[in-house]
Amino acid sequence: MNIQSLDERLVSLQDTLQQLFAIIPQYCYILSPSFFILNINAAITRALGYSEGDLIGRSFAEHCAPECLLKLQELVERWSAEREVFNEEIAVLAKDGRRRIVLLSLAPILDPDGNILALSAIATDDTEREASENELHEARQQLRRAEDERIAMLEEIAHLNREASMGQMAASLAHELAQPLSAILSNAQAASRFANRPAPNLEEIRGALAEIIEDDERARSFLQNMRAMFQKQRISRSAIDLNVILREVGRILRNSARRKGVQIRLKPSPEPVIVLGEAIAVQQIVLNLANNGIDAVQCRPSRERLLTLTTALRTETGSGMIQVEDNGCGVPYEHRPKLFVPFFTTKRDGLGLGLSICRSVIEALDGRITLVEREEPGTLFEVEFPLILP
Amino acid sequence: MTDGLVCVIDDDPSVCRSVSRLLRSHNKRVETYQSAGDFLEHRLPSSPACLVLDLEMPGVSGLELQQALAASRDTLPIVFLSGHASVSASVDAMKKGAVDFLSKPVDDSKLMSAVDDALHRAQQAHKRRQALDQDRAAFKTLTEREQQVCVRVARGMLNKQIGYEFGTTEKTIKVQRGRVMQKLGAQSVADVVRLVDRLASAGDKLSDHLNVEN
Repeated sequence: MNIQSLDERLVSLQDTLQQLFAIIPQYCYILSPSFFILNINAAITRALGYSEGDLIGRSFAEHCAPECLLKLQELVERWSAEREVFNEEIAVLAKDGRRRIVLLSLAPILDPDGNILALSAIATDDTEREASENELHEARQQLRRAEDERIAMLEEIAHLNREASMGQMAASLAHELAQPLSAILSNAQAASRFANRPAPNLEEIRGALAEIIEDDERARSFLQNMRAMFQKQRISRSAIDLNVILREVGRILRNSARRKGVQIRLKPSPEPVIVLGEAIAVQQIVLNLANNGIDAVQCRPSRERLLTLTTALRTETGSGMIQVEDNGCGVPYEHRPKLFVPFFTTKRDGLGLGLSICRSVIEALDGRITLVEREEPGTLFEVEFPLILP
Repeated sequence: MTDGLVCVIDDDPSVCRSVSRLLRSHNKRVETYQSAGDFLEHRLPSSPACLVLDLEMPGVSGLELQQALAASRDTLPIVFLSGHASVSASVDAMKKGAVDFLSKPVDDSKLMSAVDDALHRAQQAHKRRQALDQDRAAFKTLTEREQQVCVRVARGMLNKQIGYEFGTTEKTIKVQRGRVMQKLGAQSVADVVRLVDRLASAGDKLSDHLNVEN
């Protein structure tokens, strides 16, 4: 190989490098050791809008966004010490003043003796990614908000379910009985007035009495129907995991508990607690008890309000258990015997049906609910269902 | 004891019957209707009347009927009965001018005092209505010129001023004024003032009579 051809090959290599420099999509700067811009590639003129004359001969610091100068100084120092900088984020200014976020790498250009002639600075434009990351972040936040809303709605639905089933039942009960009772009262009072007249109107009195009997009959048959309905209505049962119920209830209550300053502690049993029950009914029962608990702890300062849901296996009694415990004001001793009696309530706007319905449903599922007597303040309800042994 | 017709509207026939019997035992005249629609199909009573209205009815509810009758609120006062009224429904009903809101089973004395109150209101409204009809009829017997004079007299204008406005003599106005008083059966100018005042506050358009042509 002669010198001529070597030289030619060098020239052609240089051309190739030149071409490479031109077409490389990253922003390439050749910097002097004191960080003055010696050369730029086409990507810079294309994307940032500069002509060569705009940048060449100026300090790289001038090209950077002012808020990045400290960072640049840090990079220069690192460069002096380590002779290398890799993918550091920094903002450079486009000709129109807009900022582009770039990942900057610095590498030395050496002469054959190993002296530093210049630096190659390669900057990968990261603005789009940054923007899309911002978008991603925003999207994530939206997702989180949507999820919160979804949970709030679930919570609402659970609440409505509870309110609706009990409210509706109480309302229809009240309505169905109020009508005949109202008619009986009016007829009785009318009859008494007709009887007290100087000339009693016997026809009206007879009419009133006949209707009183009719309406009494109507009320009685309504009550019989109700009774029959409750007895007939066996809930279809299946295997359910009380741990799943526990987590579901915890999730549904999370927001409302947070709003009411109540901390919820979930203590699921380490192994699944599979019992014979009905998922929605059991969930409603636990929700109901937990909501009572949340109401009960309001007497405490908000840091101390605690509701604990626990599940456990009780192989000795063949039952799976879920406990709802609060550290609230507790059930006064004299109220305990009436606790499960329908229409007994201490809440100003309560119907007094919650616990009585809970107990009816639990018993329909062959379960048991107990108010556990204990020393500590607060209330502990224990609900048991027949265990399905594996 | 207040006279008048009581219309009981309840979808429950036994409530209808028993409440109407109770009202009869208090010597009330009673009509019963099984639905709001049923009631609306009949002509509204022309004599003083009130409604005893069930709140929860299928079809047109009590509150909706109240809304429909809003225009005749004074002449047809409403006592609501309800099996299980929500607070908001009762507030709503009272705001819209119900006389009372009673829950079932309703006690005799409560119902009667509410009904008497309602009938009393209906009679007052009825009387006002009748008086107004008389006033209108009397006013209509006046000729157009007499009506114009009447309105001016009521505004306190002197014969001389009215005469000047109409381009006629004080004496002519004096004669017309005499006829107005006579036709309206007014004893004094104060009577005329009051009559014109009643018509104006009932919304009758008397202002036309202030525009004098010629």
